[in-house]
Amino acid sequence: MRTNPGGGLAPEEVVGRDALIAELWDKLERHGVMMTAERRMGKTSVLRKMLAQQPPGVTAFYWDLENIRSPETLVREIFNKVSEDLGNSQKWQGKVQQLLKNWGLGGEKIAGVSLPKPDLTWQQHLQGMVQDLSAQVADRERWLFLFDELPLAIDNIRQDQGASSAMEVLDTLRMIRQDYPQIRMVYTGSIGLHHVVAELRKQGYRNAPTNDLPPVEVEPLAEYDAWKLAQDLLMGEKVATADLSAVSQSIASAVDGNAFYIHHCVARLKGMAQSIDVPQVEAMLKAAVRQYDVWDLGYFEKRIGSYYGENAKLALLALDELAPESALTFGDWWNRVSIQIPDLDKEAFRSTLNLLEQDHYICRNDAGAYRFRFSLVQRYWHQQRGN
Amino acid sequence: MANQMISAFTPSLMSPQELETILVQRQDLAQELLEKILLSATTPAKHYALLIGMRGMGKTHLVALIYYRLLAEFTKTPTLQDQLVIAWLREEEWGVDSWLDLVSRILRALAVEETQSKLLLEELRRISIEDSIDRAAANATRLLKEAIGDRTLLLIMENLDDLFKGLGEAGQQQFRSFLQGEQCCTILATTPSLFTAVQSRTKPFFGFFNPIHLDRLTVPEAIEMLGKIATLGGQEDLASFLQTPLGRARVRAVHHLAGGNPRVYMLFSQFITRDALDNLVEAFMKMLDDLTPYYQARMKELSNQQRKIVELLVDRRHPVMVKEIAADCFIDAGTAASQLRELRKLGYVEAEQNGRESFYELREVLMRLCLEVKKQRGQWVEIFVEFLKIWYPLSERKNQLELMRGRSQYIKDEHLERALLSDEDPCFIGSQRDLQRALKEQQQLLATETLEELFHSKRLTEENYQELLELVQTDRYSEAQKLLSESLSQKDRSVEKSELTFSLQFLKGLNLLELGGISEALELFDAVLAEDERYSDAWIMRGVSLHDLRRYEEATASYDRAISIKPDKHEAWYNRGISLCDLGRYEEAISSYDRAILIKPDDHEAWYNRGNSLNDLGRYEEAISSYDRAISIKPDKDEAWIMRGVSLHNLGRYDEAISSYDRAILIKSNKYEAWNNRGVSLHGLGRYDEAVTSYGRAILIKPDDHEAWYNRGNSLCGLGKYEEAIASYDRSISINPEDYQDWTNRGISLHNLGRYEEAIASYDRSISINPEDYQDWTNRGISLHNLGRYGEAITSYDRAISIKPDDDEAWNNRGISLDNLGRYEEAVASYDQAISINPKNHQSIHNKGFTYFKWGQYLESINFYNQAILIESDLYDSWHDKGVVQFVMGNYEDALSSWQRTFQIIQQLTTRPNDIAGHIQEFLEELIPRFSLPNSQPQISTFLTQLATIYQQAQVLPELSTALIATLPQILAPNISDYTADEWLALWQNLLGTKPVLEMPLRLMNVAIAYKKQPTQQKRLWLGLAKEEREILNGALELAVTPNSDSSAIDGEPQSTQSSQ
Repeated sequence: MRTNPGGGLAPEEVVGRDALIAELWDKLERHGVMMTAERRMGKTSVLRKMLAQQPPGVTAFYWDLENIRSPETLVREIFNKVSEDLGNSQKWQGKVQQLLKNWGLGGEKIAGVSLPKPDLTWQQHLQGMVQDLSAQVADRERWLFLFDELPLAIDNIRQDQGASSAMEVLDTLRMIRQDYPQIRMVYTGSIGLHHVVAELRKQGYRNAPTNDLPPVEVEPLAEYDAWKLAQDLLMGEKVATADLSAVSQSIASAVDGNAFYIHHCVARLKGMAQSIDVPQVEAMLKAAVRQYDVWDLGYFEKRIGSYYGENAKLALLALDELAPESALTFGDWWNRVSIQIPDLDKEAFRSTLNLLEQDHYICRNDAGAYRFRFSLVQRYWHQQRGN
Repeated sequence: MANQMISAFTPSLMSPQELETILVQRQDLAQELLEKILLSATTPAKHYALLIGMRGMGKTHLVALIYYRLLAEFTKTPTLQDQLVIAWLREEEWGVDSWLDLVSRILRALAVEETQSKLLLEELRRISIEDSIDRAAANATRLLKEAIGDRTLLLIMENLDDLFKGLGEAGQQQFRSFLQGEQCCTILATTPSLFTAVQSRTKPFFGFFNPIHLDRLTVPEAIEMLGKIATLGGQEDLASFLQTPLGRARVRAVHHLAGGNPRVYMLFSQFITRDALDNLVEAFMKMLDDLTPYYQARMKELSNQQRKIVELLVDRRHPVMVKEIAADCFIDAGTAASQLRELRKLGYVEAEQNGRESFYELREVLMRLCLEVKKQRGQWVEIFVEFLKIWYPLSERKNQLELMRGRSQYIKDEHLERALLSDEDPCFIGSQRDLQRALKEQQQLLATETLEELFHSKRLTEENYQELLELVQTDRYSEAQKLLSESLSQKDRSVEKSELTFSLQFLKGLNLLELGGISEALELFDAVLAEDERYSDAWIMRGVSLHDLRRYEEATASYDRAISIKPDKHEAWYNRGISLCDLGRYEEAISSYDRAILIKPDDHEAWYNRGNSLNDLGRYEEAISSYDRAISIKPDKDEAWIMRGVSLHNLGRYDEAISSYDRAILIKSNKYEAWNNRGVSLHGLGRYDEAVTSYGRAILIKPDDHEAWYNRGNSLCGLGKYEEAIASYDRSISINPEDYQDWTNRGISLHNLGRYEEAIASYDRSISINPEDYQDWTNRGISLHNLGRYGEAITSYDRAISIKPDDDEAWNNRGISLDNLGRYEEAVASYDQAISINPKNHQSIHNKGFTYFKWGQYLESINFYNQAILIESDLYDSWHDKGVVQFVMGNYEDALSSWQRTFQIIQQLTTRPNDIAGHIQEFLEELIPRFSLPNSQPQISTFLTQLATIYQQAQVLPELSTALIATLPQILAPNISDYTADEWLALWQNLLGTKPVLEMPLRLMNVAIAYKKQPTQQKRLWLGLAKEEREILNGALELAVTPNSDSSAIDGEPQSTQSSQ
């Protein structure tokens, strides 16, 4: 396999996701899903692989919605994609002309610039379409809408059209899911929808637009899958290694099994030396973090100021203390920090740790001790802020 | 000579071949990028590459090269055009400010090649006028999808940072949405540096691209690029010079100031010739002059405030603190800091941190130098370049002992195969051959006639004859050839010997011989002779059969029998000559040919083979006469011309040899031997480049013959193109791994590239094949010596000496290694051996003097320097080293007199030697410990005042400058007090402080001595120097800590035997 950091992967190149995809299909039998993860964890790759492996009875559509800035353009995009995909589908060849006619598209090539029936609202257009789609399939069959970057689209709509438009979109989509059981949706995106909803709350939004979409977290690859991916990439790029297994292992563990970083690491190791060994992996990571910071790990440091307000200093200090350690118990950590901040309130410290956990800086190990959640962030912290 | 085809600023104007030729460092990267684009075109995977490199780093070169490679792929695989379409948004795509605009540019780029895209572009223009922006953007997306169709679009996007800036975040979101949603594009983009839109986690394109940082050229890569450009421009002498240690040192000097920016070297290549590079300063100043408009244009891109800051940094030359910049530019510190941040982002400045303070300086030394020259400060730049020119050979001297000597056995001669059979065979063989030729050449009439002859000689059955006749008459010649072969063979083998008549047995024997059935033929001839032992032709053909079976003695006896029956049988004498020749009995062979010629004076084959025997005996003049006779009878006898060339070559008459080979080539242009041997003679004349071309022709004819590859390697060595030579030897070795000379000469090339470990491995391979080659052992010793492995070197020399005890060079080199180990007594004994073998070997005598000096036996030392000078009065190094001994002995007047002579000799030389600085450094190394002795300074100061005058008169102050820097580690050593160090600096300041050429070294000395006193302040002190000066200081002080440059290594370096190649 060839490295492709950041690029579009072919479905067969998306490895170690079979269990997750099986879980998603299983959940989608019953309801929609909110797929969450840090950026570059592979959410889009998972959606694309699902799109390529649709089980019988499922017809899926994929949208990247970050260009959407109004409800109308959202609905237009939905129309365009559904029309285009159905038009290209053997299965729907017989019925597509009638559907297009129903939607005011007259069987012509989709113009894609405006909603087909000027007298109807975008909500009516959307409802009309899902109604027609639902009528085409049996009870157990599903239409699957994969909405990538939906939170961005909602936020763009809020900014351009006002909060009420954004709220309406969220509510309309939820209503469709309620009223048309054959329609399933997956929401995902590079920013958390809860941040967008929190903004809407400030404008008086009271609904719970995703309480029917249980979250599914996209985790890093399992240890074996990450090791295997690193190995396949090293071999695919013909990177000679002193010990293929050990080098693969060191890459996989240094980046916590994140496929994006594994691709990056192997791409960087290529050509670095005639034969790569584990210390060279370490040197590469050190250089990547220090020299270029291409992975913008500094972001985790910079955002502390805006995320933690008056507790920013405490959060930074706490992470500084944790950075050189593999893990710290609450007591040890408290001792180290409190000695440096006189009059520090223990509860304030505890609640800062809770926030850090929520924001994916830290997590707890099996013994309950705290550790950095991502080794790369810890590496950045230790390397750039240590001493 | 300028390379007109090289475009330093617009590489896209260069031809694909030129781009390929001058590509260095990035061959693998180019291949990878190409492969990933093709993968994107043919699979669902889509790759997005972002090439990152400052201006001039070769981004456009690489992009253009890949573009052309893809066009070549289109030609090679036409179906690829159904899978891939290319839109190249070039550097000049200014002002893209929206998604709509971007799509329009893409369609425009596509429209250059595609009619459909032209129509879509027209439609887009119409829509853009009529629709709202939102609707037009949506339409643009649709039209772009339509233009791409089922293919993958390769977007080549130069200056992506500018494009993204124009697009804004909304445009970027639309672009990314398109890329993600459609998965139909692959991207090859460039940017001078990473920028927020792709780097920040909060931006749409975070982590989207595979960032590929283009590395700066290292010194070897810069040399490779300059070499390739020189070759492209036909400057072979320059290409060769670049491969020499001195040529490499010159490029290293340029690299010191210019860094690894490929554009600089492309530009520099326009101003250099062999001599210009050697002189360096003028070429460098010309390059600065040419770069100035470029840097001035870059200045114009800046705001007034930014320009002011840059100018300040040019004036100061060293890093400056923000508050100082703010004060000098009359702006507040906050504004200065923010402008500096922006300048840093744009790649103009870089920052050094010292504690809490940030110090800024210009990122590119070259930019500062250009702007300095414009401010009438060119003299300083010239002095600095001159300094670097001397500095690099000096700083590399410790590791670059030029002990190498070449081998003399480069030449291999190709001897041609000799004819074994006279073509005047009796009976039907002529008919059969004629028929075979007629069929091959499709001559119907001849074929019909000869077929009839064969039939009548009963060589064909009626049935075969009729069948063959029909095939010939219907022009089915190849079928006829096949049938003839089968029928003759069948017939031959099917007939029982007993059934054959006497004459048929003889005929069948002849035919079997022709068909390769030699043993069977021999049996038949024996059978014939059993019936009639007076049949002389049968004895001859029996002899031929025995010859073919390599039973030459018996063959000769058989011919003798024929001759005893018929003494005037020409064929017997002739074939006897051949067998005798193969027995190595050349004299007898010649007599036999003479007898054949006596019977038949116009037998060109006999004259030719007689020539070969004479050649084998080393009687080249006579051989040439014999070939001349052959040629006079048969002027188109190419073999005779070739062998005539070999004899001429062996007489050292290379020009005439080449003419002879040329005649052979005129007759037959595909004669491998002629081209190869021609190359050998050209090599002998030192016309190495022509030799390489000649070998190239030979290789085209026979790519799998190792000799031409080997010889080509030797000529490339002669040209100093060691890398290519190694590749040529590798080819030869891959064909014939058992030729030790390949391994030897490969080792020599590796040695000349400074790759001593590999050289040793290569010599080891040669030795494993031929352990008795003393030169391999000597060369191995030299490489080991250069690695500082003196003990092993001595063992290797010992082996060489055990094979060839009178090898004075091995004895001399052994002495040098022993000297380095401090084994002075043995070193002297070794030199004595060298001198006893060659009493005129002044190098060994000089080396002996040097060893005695180190041994503390100064009078002996002077004695041997004097002896060396007696042999060669102009040995400036012996004069100089004698002066050093005299100085150490306190004979200052004598020392000054010796050095006066040293520099007189140097000034009379047409080429200024490169080791003057090294000699001065050796003296300073002796001077410093004496300078530190109590009460010595007044006397030494007086002495140095006189010496300074000599240096000034000899115009060697630049060399003195570098020597002063090179000896800084000694001044910084703990045994030298701070007081002495201060005095040392004061001394030179008083003596030569007003000389501009000493200004920089004295400043560096000042900083180094301050550092000696306050080591913790190194960073602060260094920040008072310009970047290029800091590098010099770092280099100088690192010399003190590298393993090969400890004080004993510096002291312990005798003069070496130079290459005799």
